[in-house]
Amino acid sequence: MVPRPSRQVLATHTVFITGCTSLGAHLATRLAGEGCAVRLLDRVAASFSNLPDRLQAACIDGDPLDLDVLRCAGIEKAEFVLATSHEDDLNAATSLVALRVFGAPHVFARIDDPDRAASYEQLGITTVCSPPMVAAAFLQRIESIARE
Amino acid sequence: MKVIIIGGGRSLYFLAQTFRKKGHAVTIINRDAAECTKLAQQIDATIVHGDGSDQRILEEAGARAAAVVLAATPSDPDNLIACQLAKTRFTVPRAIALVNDPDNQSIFRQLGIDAISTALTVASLIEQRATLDQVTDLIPAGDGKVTISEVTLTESFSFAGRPVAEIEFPRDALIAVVIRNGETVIPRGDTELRVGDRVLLVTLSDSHERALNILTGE
Amino acid sequence: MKSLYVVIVGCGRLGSHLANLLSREGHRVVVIDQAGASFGKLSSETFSGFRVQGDASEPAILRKAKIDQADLLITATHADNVNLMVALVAKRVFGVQHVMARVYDPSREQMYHDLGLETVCPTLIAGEAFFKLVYRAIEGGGAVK
Repeated sequence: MVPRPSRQVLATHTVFITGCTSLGAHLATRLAGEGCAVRLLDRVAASFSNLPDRLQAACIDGDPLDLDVLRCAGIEKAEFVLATSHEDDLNAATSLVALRVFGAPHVFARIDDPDRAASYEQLGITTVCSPPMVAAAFLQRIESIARE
Repeated sequence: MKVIIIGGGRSLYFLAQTFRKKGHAVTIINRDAAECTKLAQQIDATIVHGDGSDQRILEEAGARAAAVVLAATPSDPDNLIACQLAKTRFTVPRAIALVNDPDNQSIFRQLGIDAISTALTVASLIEQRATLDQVTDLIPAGDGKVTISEVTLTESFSFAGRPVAEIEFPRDALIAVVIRNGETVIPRGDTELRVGDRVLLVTLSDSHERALNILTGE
Repeated sequence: MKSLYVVIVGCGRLGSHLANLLSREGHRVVVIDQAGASFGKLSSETFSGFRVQGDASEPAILRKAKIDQADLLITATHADNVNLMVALVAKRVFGVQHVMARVYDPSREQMYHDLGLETVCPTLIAGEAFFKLVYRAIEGGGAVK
């Protein structure tokens, strides 16, 4: 387990999240709750309706590949960029823009396809590929059922 | 009382109107933004745009204060989850699902959710009407648990000319009145029933069909 | 290790992956999916189970998969409500001993834990991976790139 930094430390960090998916909303909710400044960007304004009412976060609707949009949304002030849309390619492209154009210090991308995740890693993008972890969670439990 | 209806379409619109006319407060939850706008213009109800199986949307629709939640979307899973949430998270006294697949009526009931299948209800009503021309009235009473019917006895009634006591009737069925030549008779065990008699039959719902079958000779 | 009778609902990436693996390990597997084309993801070499095409939220389809004999049911369609309903029906109505549902929405996952269902939430799993990366970067003072 990686220990969670203290609230004071977290409060000094800005997290920029693209894609208000259930994952994006989950990350935003918890990181904001732990003290981070959170900015959320999604192409569709209606996506923000899945956020809790009390969430302290800036919500901006716009294209995550439009440099002006990213700048206005405050990507330059963010230590962390988390790309969490449903589209692997969009997340990869957003991550590359954040890294190469804006020099964001830490960029992490959700990539669901394991093959793509591997090739994006070669481009220098840190990826989170959850489907194999989900499958592993199922298999671990199934094995224990079969051993009963 | 406050009623929340989840779903859309014409029949739901009329259902909502009916509740309104009876003086109830109605909230409609619908996923389709365009339909929400249309509903808001047509009906004096609160319209909430969103997924009725989402806790936040139910909360926004005021589920905490609702007496009834009726889930009537075209998706049985969505209806089940909406009712489950209404019951467990918001303690709504009555959560009713309108199921699409008739098989799911009994399944939902086993899961503790009130379920109504339009297909089953309509089919059974048509069946009762179609097979029983001689049955002139079908009045559900006592919350639908009791049925009152008027039946004219024909040649196919196999206990004609024999006393009421001999008829092998289900326990929960009763012949309350016999109308013969304009005279009204309250039957006793030794009263004979004849072809042409009109009888008033009172039954609990479960025994209704069997009792009717005996009287009509089906 | 005993051989299980496993019913898998949803032949997407996760469902087909588990079906291929479990079939190869010698478990008896039935896969249910609405779209016949999805069965193409089942491997002709490793998958020796059965395919049932249909909507698993219709009890008739579950019966066709002989759900009452199943040791384990896994729901892995893309719709949370379908996964939850089928899991609940399998457990409560057909008495399947082990039932696991994939559920994307964490708030729904909580409710179904309360109802006694085992769930796996990809959102929480991916979330943990992201949190770990963020925390490690902060603690390491920017060592992670």
